[in-house]
Amino acid sequence: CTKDFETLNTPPTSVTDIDAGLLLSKVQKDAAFAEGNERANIEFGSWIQHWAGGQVAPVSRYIQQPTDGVWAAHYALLRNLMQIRTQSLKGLETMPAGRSKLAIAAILEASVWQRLTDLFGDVPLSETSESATNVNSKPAFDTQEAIYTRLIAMLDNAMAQLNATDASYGNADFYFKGDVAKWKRYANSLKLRMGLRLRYVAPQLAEKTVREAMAQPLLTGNADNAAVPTFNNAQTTNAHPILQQFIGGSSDLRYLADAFVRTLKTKNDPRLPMIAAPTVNSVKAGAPDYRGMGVALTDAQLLTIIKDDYSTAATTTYFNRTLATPIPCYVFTYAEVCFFKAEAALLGWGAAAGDAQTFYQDGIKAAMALPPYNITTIPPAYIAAEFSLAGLSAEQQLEKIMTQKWIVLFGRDYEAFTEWRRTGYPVLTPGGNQGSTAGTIPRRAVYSSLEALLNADNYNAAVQRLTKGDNYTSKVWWDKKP
Amino acid sequence: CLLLFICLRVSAAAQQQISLTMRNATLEQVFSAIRQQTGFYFLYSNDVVKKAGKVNIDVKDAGIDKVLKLCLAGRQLTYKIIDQTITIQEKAPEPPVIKPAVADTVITGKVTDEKNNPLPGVTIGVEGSSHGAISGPDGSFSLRLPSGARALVFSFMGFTQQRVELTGATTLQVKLAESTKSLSEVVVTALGIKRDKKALGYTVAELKGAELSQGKEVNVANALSGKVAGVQVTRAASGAGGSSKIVIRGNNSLQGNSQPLYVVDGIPLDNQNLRPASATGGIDYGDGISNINPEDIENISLLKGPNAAALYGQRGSNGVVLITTKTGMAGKGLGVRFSSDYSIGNALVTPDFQDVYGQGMNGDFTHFRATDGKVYTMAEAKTLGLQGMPKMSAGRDRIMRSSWGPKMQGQEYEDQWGNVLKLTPQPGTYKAFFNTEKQFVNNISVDGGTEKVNYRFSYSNTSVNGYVPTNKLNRNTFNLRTQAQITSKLQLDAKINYIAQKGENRPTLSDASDNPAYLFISQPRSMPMSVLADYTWSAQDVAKQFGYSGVYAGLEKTYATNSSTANPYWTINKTHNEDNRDRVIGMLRLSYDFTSWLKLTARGGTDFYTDQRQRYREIGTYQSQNRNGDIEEQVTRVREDNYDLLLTSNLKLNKDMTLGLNLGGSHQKRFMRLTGNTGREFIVPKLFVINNTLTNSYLFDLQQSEINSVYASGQFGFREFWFVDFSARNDWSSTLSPENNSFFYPSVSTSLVLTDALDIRSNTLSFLKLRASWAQAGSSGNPYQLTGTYSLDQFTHGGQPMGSFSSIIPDPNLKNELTTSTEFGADVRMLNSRLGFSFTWYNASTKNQILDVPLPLSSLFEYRRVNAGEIRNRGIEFSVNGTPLKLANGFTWESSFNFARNRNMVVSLADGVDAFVLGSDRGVIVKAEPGKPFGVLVSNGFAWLRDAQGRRLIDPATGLPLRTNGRVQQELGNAMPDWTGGFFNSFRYKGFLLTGLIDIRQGGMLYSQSNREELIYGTTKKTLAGREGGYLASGIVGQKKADGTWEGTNQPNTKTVNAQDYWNVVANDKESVVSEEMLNDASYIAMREISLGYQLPAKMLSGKFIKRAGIGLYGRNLFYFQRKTDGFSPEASAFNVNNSSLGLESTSLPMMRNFGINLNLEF
Repeated sequence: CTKDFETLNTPPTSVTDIDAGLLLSKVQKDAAFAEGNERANIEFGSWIQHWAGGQVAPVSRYIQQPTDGVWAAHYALLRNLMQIRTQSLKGLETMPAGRSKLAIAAILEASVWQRLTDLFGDVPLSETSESATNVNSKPAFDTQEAIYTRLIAMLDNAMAQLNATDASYGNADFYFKGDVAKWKRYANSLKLRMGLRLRYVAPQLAEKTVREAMAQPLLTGNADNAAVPTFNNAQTTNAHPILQQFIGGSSDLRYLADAFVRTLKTKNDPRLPMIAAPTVNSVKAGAPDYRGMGVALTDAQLLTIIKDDYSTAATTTYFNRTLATPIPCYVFTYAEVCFFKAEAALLGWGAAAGDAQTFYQDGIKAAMALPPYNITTIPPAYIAAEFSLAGLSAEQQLEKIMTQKWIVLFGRDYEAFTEWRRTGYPVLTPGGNQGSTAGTIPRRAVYSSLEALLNADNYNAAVQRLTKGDNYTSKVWWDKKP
Repeated sequence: CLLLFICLRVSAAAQQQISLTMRNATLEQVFSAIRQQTGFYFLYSNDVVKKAGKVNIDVKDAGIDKVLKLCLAGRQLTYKIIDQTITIQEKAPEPPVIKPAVADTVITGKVTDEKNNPLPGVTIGVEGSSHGAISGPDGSFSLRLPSGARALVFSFMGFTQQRVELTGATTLQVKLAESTKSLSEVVVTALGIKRDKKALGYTVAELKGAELSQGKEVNVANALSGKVAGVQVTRAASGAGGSSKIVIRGNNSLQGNSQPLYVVDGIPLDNQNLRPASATGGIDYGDGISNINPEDIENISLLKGPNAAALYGQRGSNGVVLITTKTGMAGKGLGVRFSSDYSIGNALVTPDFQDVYGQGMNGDFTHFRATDGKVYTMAEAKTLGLQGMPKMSAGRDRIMRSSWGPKMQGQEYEDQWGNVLKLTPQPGTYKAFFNTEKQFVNNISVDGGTEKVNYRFSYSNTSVNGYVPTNKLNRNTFNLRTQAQITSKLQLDAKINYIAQKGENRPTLSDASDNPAYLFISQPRSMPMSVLADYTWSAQDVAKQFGYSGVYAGLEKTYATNSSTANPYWTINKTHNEDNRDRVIGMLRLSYDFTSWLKLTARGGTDFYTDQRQRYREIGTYQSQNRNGDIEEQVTRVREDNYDLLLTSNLKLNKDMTLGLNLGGSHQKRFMRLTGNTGREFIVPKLFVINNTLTNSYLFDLQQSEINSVYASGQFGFREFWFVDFSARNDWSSTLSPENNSFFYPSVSTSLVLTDALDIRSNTLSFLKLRASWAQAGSSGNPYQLTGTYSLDQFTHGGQPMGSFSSIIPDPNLKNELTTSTEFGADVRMLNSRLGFSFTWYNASTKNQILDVPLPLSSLFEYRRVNAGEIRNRGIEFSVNGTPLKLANGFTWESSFNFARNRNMVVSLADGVDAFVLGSDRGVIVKAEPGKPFGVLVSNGFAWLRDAQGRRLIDPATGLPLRTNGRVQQELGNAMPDWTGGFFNSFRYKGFLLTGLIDIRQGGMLYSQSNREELIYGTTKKTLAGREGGYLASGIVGQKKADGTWEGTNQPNTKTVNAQDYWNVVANDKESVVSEEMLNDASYIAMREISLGYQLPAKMLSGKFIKRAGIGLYGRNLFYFQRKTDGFSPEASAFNVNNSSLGLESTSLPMMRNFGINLNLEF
C-alpha cells in the first residue's frame, strides 16, 4: 500500500547533490554584489561619505539599527562554502580532483570571514556548525584577535595546497577562471591586507604577516584583479549593483556625498564626470557643475535641500543601462594592493620607505585605468598635484595614500568603511544629526537582532567585551589608531 | 491498493429479536422496553405519543419492524429508522385514498398548533395550483378547490410545513408542529454519523442554515463569528471575496494557521489560501470555504478539537467544521424557492484624521516660488523678502510631505505639480476615492422527490462591486444533489457542485504602496483628491513640478517619491488583476443495508479546481521596474480525492446494553501544481502578454501526498443513560520515512444522563448530562520535509548557473505530531427546557510538532526542521440559552450567551531554542516563548528611558522625552484575547422575527503600522494638541550622570514643546519608532448583526401562485459598544489568515458596515 510513497515524497524541484562550481559561483557573485548595492550604499557608503543617504535611510543619519541583512547574508555565503567542504568535495582533500578546489574555497571563505569580523568585531567562527548533520545552534563568539590569527593560518594552508595541475573550477570561477597562480597571488594579497589591518593593535603579528606577504608574489596588474563580470542586457540581477540601485531603487537615494564630490572636484580628478552627474539645475542654467549633498543632515538642514541642485551617480557610467562595456564588480584590485604596498614601505616592512611613492603612483595609475574610467593618460596637472609624496611626513603620506584608496573603493562600501576606521583617512566631518551616536560617525555594525534573540547567552558575552556595548560607537579590536 | 479486512462476529439474529408482553402501556413504556432489548434510540414529541393512548402488545422473537407496526397500528403515527435511531412522527394520510377534488368543492377547517391553540395567518395552498387561502383569527379557513386538486399545503413561519392529501372530506383539522423542535436532538458527528446528542461525551455545536444566512456573508466562515463558544473568527482586511480564519479553542500550531478542517457532505474541502498576502504586500485571492454557497447549507456541526474529530486524524486536531448541504425531501412535490439579497457596505472605522493643519513643516510651508519663477526654501524667501507664493515640495519623507504645516485657512499656494490652490481641509479623502460596496446575491432552488428518489438543484449568483473601485467578484454556483433508494437495501447519494468564481482587481494588502489604503494615512490633509484623480503626469506638471526627479509626461503621477509609491487612481485604472477559479466538488455514496443492524457505506469524493491568476501593470507604473510595467500569470491546479469504506453495525448485547461498531478504511490523495511566468518591462504598450516583455522568469511548484488509513469506532450504551464511545485510527502517510510513516491514535468518551439514571422527572431540572472524553490526533506534516536540498538560481550569471543549499536543516527521522486532548463538561436544561446551560473544560496539548525551529544565523542555518515542542491550550466554555418570555399571543423572546476563555501556553520548544518567531514587522517581533502564551509582542524599535518607578524621563534641555540610543527588545504584551463571547437575542411575534448578535472580545494587543504612519506624518487628531507650542510631555525631569546615562530627579516635567517635535521623537521615520506607542488594545464589543424578518400573512397570498413570501432587513458590523483601537477595526486588521499576521495591523482596508434587504419566495 505504501510502496510509491518514497517516489511521491521526493522533492520535484530541487536536487540533493550539486557540483561545487555552482556553489562557488553563487558565493563569489553574491559576496561581491552585496558590497555596492543600495542597502550598503545608504549605510556604510554614506558613513564614509561616498553617498549622501537621506531622511528615508535613518542609518545614514546615525540612527542605530541592527544590521540583520548583512549578518544573514554573510552566514549564507559561509553555509554554501561549508557544503563544498563537507559534501561536494568531501574525501577529495588530498587528491587532485579536490585539493586545489578546496583550497580556493578556503581562500574565498577567509575573505568572507574577514569582511564579517571587520564590520561587527567578535563573531561566531570556530563553533559554527561543522556540517548539515552536526549543527551547533548556540555557537560562541570568537574574539577578533583569535579570528585574525586563524584566518592568516587558513590562507597559509590554502596557498600550500594550490597546485596548477589539479582539477579546476573553470568558468565557474568568476575571479580567475581556475587560474591557480592568480589564486596564489590573490591569497597572498589578502594576507598582506590582513597584516596591515592589525598594524595599530598587534604590531608584531602585523609586521610578521606583512613581511611574509611582501616576500611572495602579489597581484601584479589589473589583469589580476579579482572581480565578477556584470551584464547590462540581461536580468536586473545580472547588472552592476549600482546600476541595480538605479533600476529598482529609490530616486531619493541616488545622490552622492558632498565630501566625495568636493574632493574629486578640488583635485580636478578626471574620474569625476564618470562618477558623478552634473546637477539638473546647473545643466538647465547651461553651466554643468557637480555638487554633493551633505550627509546625516538635521531636519532643519533637510528643509533647505532642493534636489535638483545635487549630483547623482553618473548617468553615463554607473547609472547607464546601455553602457557598451558593463563595469565589473570588483572584489580586490591591483590598485589596492599597490596602496597596501606603499603603506608597508612607509613602515619598512618588506620594502624600503623610498619605495612608497612608486607603489602609490602605480596604485593611482591602476585605479585610473579601471573600467569605467579607462584613463591611461593622466592629466599632467593631476600628476603634478597628486603624484609626489616628497617632503611629507609618514602620516601625511599615509593620508594621501588613503585618500586615493578611498576614491578607488567607490562602490566597495565595506572595505572603504573598514580602511577609513583603521587609518582615520581621509578625515571626514560627521553630519549634523545627533542620531544615536551624539553626532559621530559609527565605528561598527550592530549585531543581528535575531542573533540577540536566539543565541542570547553568547551574544551577551560578546557584548560584554565591547567597550560601549552593542552600539555604533563601540570599536572593534583592531580599531586602535591613536 | 488498500486492503481492509472486516471481521464482525455477532449473533445478529438473536440480538434483534424482541419479546414483549405489555398491557395498557404507554407508547413511551413500550419504546423504553424496545430500547433496552435492541439498543435503538427513540425520538418523538411527547405530545404526539401521549395522544396516541395506551397499547397492548404481546410478541415473541419478533423483528423491530413488526413490533413497531403493531404498536402504531391504528394510530396516525409512522416511524423511520436512521442509523440506530427510530423517529416517531405523525403520519400523513395514506396515499391510496386520495380523491382528486371535483371543481368548486369547498373545503373548510381549522389550523392549530400541537397544543390546539388556533394559528391565524397560516398559508393554505392547493398543490400544483395558484389557489390558496389564509387562516383567520381563530385558525379557521375556507377554500374553494380547483378541479383535480390532490393535496393542500399548510405553511407558517416557525412551523414545519405540512402537506395534507385530499380524501374527499370537506372539513379538516390540521395541527402544525413547531419546526424548531423537530429532530433537534440529532446531531451530525464525525464521518457524518447522526447521533442522539445526549449520547455524546464531547462538544458538538450545531448551527442551522437559517441562522447563518440572516445577514448575508459572502464567506460562510464570517457568519460563525460570535455564535459559538470558543470559536474565534478573524477576517482578512482584503476586499470582496477574501479569506477568513477560524480558530477553535486557541492556536495549536506554531507554523501554519491552526484552522479547522472543513468537510462538506463527508468530503474534505481544500481550504488553502494559495500564496496569501504577507507583511509587505500581496493579494488575498480567497480561501476554499469562501467558495461555498451559504444558501445551500442545511446545517453546520462544529466538532471542537480532537475529542470530537479524532476520526479525521491528520487534519482533525484543530477541530472540524462539518457542513451538510440541503437535499430534496422525500414524498414532497415540486418545490421552487427563490431568494434575493441586496446589500450595501461602507467603512465602519476609518482613521481619525485631523482637518486643521496642512502640508508642510514647523507650522509653515516648506518652499516658495518667487515671481522670478525660481523655487526657494521658505526660510530663504523670508530672509530675502521675496514676492510670490508658497510652494509645496514632493518628497519621500516627513520633511516634505507631512501635515505638520500651516493652519488651513484658505491661503493660496502652488502645489508640488504647479497647480495654484487654496489651502483648505480635505476631510473626505476616503469617501472621494472608495465606493459603496454593493453586493447582490440571487439564489434559486428546485427540489422534490418521491419516497424512492429525491433531488435538489440550486443555482446561486453572487455579485459584488467592491469598496475599492473596480474590485469585483462574481461567483456562480451550481449544485445538484440526488438521493435514491435503488432497492430496499441499496441507497445512493450523489452530489455535484460546480463553482465558477471570477475576481477582478482585488486590492493589494499591508505595507505596499499599491494597497489603496496605504497612502491615505500619510497623504497631506490639504491635498485634494481631485489633483490625484488626474493620475498621469502632463508636460505642464513636469515643467512646474518641484521635488521629483526623473519624471516625464505619461508616467504615473504620485504625490510621494518612494521607489514604491503609487497613486491609487492609477492603481485602479492602469493596473489590473483578475482571477478565475473553476471548482468541482463531487461525491458519490452507496450504502447497503445487509440487515437492519449492519450497513456498508462506500464513498468517493473529489474536490478539484484550477485557479488562474493574471496581473499586469501598464507602462508608466511608478513602482514597476524601470517604470515599464510588468505582467504575471499563474495557473494552479489542486486536487484532493478521498475514498472511504465504512461498515456500521448496531448490536444488542443484552437487555441493558447496546453496542454499535464501525469499521472503515480510507485513502486520501492530494496534488498541487503551479506553473507561471512573470515578465518585466513591456516592449509595446497595451499588449498584456508575457512575450511582450524584456525579461521574464518562471514560477513552478509541485506537491503530492497520500495517506492511507484504517479506523474503528464504537458506541456502547447502557440503559439509555450511560454511553461510552471509542475510536482508533492508524494512518500511513507518504510524507514521512518508511520507519515513521505509520502512526496510531485512539479516543474514548463517555456521557451520563443523570436525570435518566436517577429517574429524575422534574420540571425544574429537565435534563442533566455529564460528559468526559480523551482523544489523540496525529498529523504528518507537508511533503518533502525529509531531505536537504540544493536549489538553482532562476537566472544564470553570464551563462554560469549558480546553486545554494537549503537554509533549513531537514531531519530524515521526522515523526508525526500528536495532539492529546481531554475535556469534561455538563449540559443542563431547566424549567421545562426553557433554560439551558452548557459548560466545558478542556485541556489540549500538541507535542512533537513538525517545526522549522529558527536558529541563530551564526549556526550557518536559518531553521532546523524537527519534532519539537509542546503547546497547551486549556480553557473553559460556557453557554446559556433560554426563553425569557413566551406569551400566549405568540410573542417569544429567546436569548443565548456564550463565553470562552482559552489559556494558551507554550510549554516547550526544541532543545536549546529560546524563542520562535511567528511574525515581525517594523518595530515589532511576535514570538512564542516557553512558559508564555503564544503571540508575545516584543518591541524591536526604540524605548523610552524610564526611572525605577517606570516614569518617563524628560530631557530638561529640550522638554522632550528621552529614548534609547538603539533598538531594544522588550515585551509589550500578548496578542491573545483573555476571553471571547457572544450574546444573541431573538424576538418572534406573528410573522415577525427580530434578532441581534453582539460579538465580544476582551484583551489582547495589536501593533499598528498605520498608527506609525499617522504619527510620522501628523495626519490624525492625536497630533493636534500643542501644534503651536504648549505640548507638555508627561514624565519627570531627567538628569545626565557622569557615565552618560540618565536618572530621574522626581521633578515632573513642566517644559512644554511643539507637538511636532514631540511626535517626531515618538515616530520619526518608519524604521525609527518608539514601539510601545503603536500598541492598541484589541478588545471590542461589537453589534455584529441585527436582522428583522417578516413572513407575509397568508391571506395576502391567498389564491396566488406564490405560497410563501418573506422579506428581511439586516445590518452587519453596525457599531461598537466598545473599541479601543486607533482608527481601525480590531477584528479585521489582519493581512492574511496565517500566524504571521498575528497581533499585527498593517494599513488595513476598513471593515465594511453592511445594510441589506432580502426577499424569499416559495412557489
